[in-house]
Amino acid sequence: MIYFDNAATTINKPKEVIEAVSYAMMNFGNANRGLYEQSLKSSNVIYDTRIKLSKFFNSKDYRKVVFTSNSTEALNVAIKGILKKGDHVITTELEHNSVLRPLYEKETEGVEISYLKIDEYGNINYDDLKKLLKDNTKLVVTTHGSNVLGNLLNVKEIGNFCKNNNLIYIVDASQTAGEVEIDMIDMNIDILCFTGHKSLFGPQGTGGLILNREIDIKNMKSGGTGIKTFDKFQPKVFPTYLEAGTLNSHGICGINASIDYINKIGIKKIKEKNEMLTKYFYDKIREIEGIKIYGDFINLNRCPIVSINLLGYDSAKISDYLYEKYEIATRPQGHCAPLVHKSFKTEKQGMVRFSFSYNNNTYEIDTAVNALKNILN
Amino acid sequence: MIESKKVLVITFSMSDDVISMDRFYKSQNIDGKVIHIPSSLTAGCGRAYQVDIKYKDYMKKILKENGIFFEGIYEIKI
Repeated sequence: MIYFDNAATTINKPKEVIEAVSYAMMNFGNANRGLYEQSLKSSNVIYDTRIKLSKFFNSKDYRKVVFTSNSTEALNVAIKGILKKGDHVITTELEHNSVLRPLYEKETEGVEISYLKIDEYGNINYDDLKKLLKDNTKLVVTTHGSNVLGNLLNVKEIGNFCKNNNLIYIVDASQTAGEVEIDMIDMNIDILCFTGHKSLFGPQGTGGLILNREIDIKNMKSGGTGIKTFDKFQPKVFPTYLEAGTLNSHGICGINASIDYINKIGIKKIKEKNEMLTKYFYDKIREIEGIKIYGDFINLNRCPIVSINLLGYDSAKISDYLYEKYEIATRPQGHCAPLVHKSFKTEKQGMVRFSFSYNNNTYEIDTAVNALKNILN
Repeated sequence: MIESKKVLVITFSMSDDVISMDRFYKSQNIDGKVIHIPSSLTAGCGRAYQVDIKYKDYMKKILKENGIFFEGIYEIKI
C-alpha cells in the first residue's frame, strides 16, 4: 500500500516512538499521584517532554506547555478560554473546523468574526489585517499551513502585526509542527496549538498548547490535579490549570521520543525531502490535461500537500478508485475546511488530497502519477 | 515504631517543580528524596522534598540561584 494521507496522520511511526510508548505502558504509574518509582518515572518523562517541547518551539517557559489530546482540544481550550461576548476575532478562510467551529460557537454568544479572504492561489493578503482591525479586536487565530492546499502562512508577519496592535496571536500548527521550523519568540506567537500524531510522528491522542506570555484564559475542564485537593475550583497554577485529569503519560512518552527522532534527523532535512517529493509530484502532473491543481506552487516553501481534481469526477470516486485499483491511500472531499472549498467552488466535487511525509519516496509518486494518467486515458 | 527526626521539607505548587528539584539534587549528590507532603504542612502540590537539616542555609541559596520554583521551606519533625 502507498500511503499519501500523512496530513491526516502519519503511519509507520519510528521504532523509537513505538518502543517508548511500549515502555511507558509497561512501567508508568499515574504521574503526580504518588512517590513510588512508577509514578515518579511518569512524572519525570512529562517534565522532560515539557522542556523538550519548549525548546523545540522556542517558547519562553516550559511551565506553560499544556498537554491535550490533540490540536482540536488545544484550539478549543485557547479560543473558548479567551474570547468573551463583545470581542472581535480575525481568522482566515483557510481554517480547519477545529478553529471554525469553536469560533462559530462563540459567535452565538456575541463574539464577532472577520475573515482574511483567499485569492485564486489560496493566499491571503496581509494588508487586509489592518482593514479588519477594530477597537474590540482581541485576537487573531490562523493556521500555519493549510491542510487542503499546503500553503504556508507568514506567521511572523501576522505575529508582528498582533504584537504591534496588542492582540493575542493563536497559531494552529497541526500541519507544521515537526515539518517546518517554528520559533515562537521570533515569530511573536502567543499560543501555539499542535498535535502529536501528524508530522511529529507521535501517537494519536497527544498534543498541546504552549503559551508564550501571560494571557487571561479560562479553563475548559475541572477535576483531579494532584495539587490543592481541598480547593473547590481548579487551581490557577500552570500548566495544571488547563490539564484536569490523568495525563496521557504513555502518549507523552511517545512524543518525547518523537522529538528526539526529529532532532536526530534534523527538521531542515525533513523539510527538504518533503519539498522535493512535493515538487516531484507537482512537476509530473502539472502538464497532464484534465488535472486541476489547487494552491500556490510558485512558492515551494510549503507543506507537502497537493490537492487536485480530475476533470469533473467526484473526488470521492477518484480516491476510492486509487485505493481499490492501485492501493494508493489519499483523502477526498472537504478535509474539514469548508471555507477553502467554498472559495474554490469545490463544495460538491471536493478535492483529492495527496500528502507526503519523510517516509515516502519518488517510486511511490511515479506509481501515483501513472495511476492518474491511466484514469484519464 | 517509625522513628521521628527533624528534617528540612521544601514545598511546591506543582509536581514538575518537585521533579526539577529532585534532578538538581541528584546532580549535586545531595541526599534528598521526594516525599508525600506531611499533613502538618499545606502546599499546592501533594509531593514535597525532604533533605537533611544540615543543608538549611545551602538550600535557600541554591534554590534561588538555580531558578527552582518552590512555595516554602520548613524545619519540621516527621
